[in-house]
Amino acid sequence: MKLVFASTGTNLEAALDPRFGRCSYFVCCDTESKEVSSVSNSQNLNAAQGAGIQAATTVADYGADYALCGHCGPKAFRVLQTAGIKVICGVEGKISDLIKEFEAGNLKEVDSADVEGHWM
Amino acid sequence: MNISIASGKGGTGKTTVAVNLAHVWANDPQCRIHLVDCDVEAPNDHLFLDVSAAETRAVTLPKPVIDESKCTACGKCAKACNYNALTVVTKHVLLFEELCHSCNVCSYVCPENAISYAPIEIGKIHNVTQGLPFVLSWGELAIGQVQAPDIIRELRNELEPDTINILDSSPGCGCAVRETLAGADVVILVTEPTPFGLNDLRLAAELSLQLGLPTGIIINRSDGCDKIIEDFSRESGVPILGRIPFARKYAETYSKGKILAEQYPEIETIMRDLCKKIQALAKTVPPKQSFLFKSQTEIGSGKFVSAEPRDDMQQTVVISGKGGTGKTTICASLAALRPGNVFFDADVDASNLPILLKGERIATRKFTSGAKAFIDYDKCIECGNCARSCRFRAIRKHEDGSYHIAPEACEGCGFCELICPVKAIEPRPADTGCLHLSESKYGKLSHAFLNIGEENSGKLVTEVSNLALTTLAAEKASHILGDGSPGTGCPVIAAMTGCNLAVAVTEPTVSGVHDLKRALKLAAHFDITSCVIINKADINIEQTNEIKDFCSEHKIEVIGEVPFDEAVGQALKEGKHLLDVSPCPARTAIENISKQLELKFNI
Repeated sequence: MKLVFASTGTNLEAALDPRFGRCSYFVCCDTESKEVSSVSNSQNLNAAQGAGIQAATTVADYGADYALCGHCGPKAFRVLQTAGIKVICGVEGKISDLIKEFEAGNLKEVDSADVEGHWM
Repeated sequence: MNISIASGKGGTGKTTVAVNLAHVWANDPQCRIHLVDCDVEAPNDHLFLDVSAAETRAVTLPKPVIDESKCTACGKCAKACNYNALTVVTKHVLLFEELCHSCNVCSYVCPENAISYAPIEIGKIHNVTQGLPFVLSWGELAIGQVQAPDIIRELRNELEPDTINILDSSPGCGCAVRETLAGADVVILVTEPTPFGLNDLRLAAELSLQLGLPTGIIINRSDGCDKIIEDFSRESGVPILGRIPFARKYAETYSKGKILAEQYPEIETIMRDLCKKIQALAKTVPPKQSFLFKSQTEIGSGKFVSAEPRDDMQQTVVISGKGGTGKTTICASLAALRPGNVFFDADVDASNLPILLKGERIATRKFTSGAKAFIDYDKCIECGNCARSCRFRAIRKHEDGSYHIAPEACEGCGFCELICPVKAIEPRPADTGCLHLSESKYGKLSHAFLNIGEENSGKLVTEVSNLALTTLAAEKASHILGDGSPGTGCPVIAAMTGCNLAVAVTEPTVSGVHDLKRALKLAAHFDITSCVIINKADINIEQTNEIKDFCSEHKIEVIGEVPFDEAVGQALKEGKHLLDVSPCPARTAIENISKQLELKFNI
């Protein structure tokens, strides 16, 4: 399984970033090969608009099976859903702990965005 | 005649002037009056009027429609879109029309001709032609849409020339205000006789005079000695047309959503006098000059000192759903009770915290955001293709036949670059403002100045809050206290990012309660703990109780109430915060609130 985490840092010791579109990094982890890589999200962090959409596209381009984040808005969710990526949100903590939780089957995917878009 | 009513920021009494002026002017049987609320993101003129039935129609804009049978998911459209409104994942093109600016770039670059345009509703226009002494219209931008100027343009298209059209603008100096001011015969700027008021007035006057419009000032909450505004009026040649006195009874009447001129003959007299002065002003030629403050344009020559953020740092932001609730006064007073910490002012449209904290500039750097089109005149053949195809009408032909880009109107879509036959147009990073670090008696302060007419995207706010963070890291203290920008849009979200606590300041008025709910919802959305301060709590006990009920229902702490206190008005006039004045009920309330914040939230 390829997991992508919205992260505050570049490795598995980093904490999950509560934001998706404007998180600092994406940490990508392949649970079979144990390969870990990271992608900076700074370009989207500073985007005037549409950060969630571009961030979700980055995650889709990596070929993720699951995206894990604190919160996921409707636009990012639509992109992830179209790309067939399952979304787990409402979680927090260190990424290495979240991988264990995921492998133990304790994390459930959601079927809709958990927050409204920014323009309320 | 078109009269636009504007102000550098919210809460100055713009709506009060617009509604009362329309009400009084309508008594003249010779005149037809049309009141037009152009604050399409938060229209509230109609809340003060007895509106029973309105005719409503939709405002549409052409938005892209993708023909799936032709689309090959090549991704050229997504790459060309400067608004991130399109993306391609797993052979699907996804369009997010609420981000789309209808610029035509995607359909132009599509090699398969798969993109056409169809009208989509972006908002509504409401008209009330019966039951009121005047015609009332207001625009309403659909939630999630961003193109306020298009709705305002539609409202303006409906204006009749032989009518007195009173246009109530949105606050600030952004593109929506520019659109409301376009084609005005007179601009009325509503201000308060305080250093803040003057700061905001200078910005609004700058915009109005740049557009070459006859401009006048109305002083709201005047106590008769408004020297600070009188001095500006003399210096700039912008006349003062009237004064609305500062009185508790007016605040109470306003809080109930009532029209002042109906209840108080003195207000009616002021408005009637204003009608005459406006007509005279329309025939005058406005002064041509810049009146920006030194504090607005001054550049610091020192250096930024920064370090990597530490774990023990805590960030608090003071917010309010709308302007004019007393957010900055309360924030400055709380800052004065926390010397040695770092402060920031996220209100980059009209930065007022540095005035109250009396900051001296240390360092400055330029801020660029997005890109705007530039014409290379060595290459330009003056064919005019760019001007004809610009959706934003940002390219204009001068008398000598040359074409020029109006930077304030250019939204950086890039269409002109694509269609120019001689490749004479290129995008360049756009200078949109300055980021400043200042030193005050109470600690360092980060703030910014957004150029007049630039739209605040929240990016500059992020820079301001990041500057506070890196500055604090290099200091011994561990707290950041920030003054958020008004509203609930992108800039406020940017100011809240990374905060541990949001302190919402509200007032017990119809609009105050409404806007507080939005602000608290926003804080909850970002998982930020919030608490509430009710300012002028005693002017309307009923509304204050409603706020308290709402908070207790949502388990949000009301951390304190500040009574209506005329000493606050006096302090603001002198450019002071409440810790800078002799003891008064409001000061005592703030000191108690500060203690509570320390006790309950450890800030």
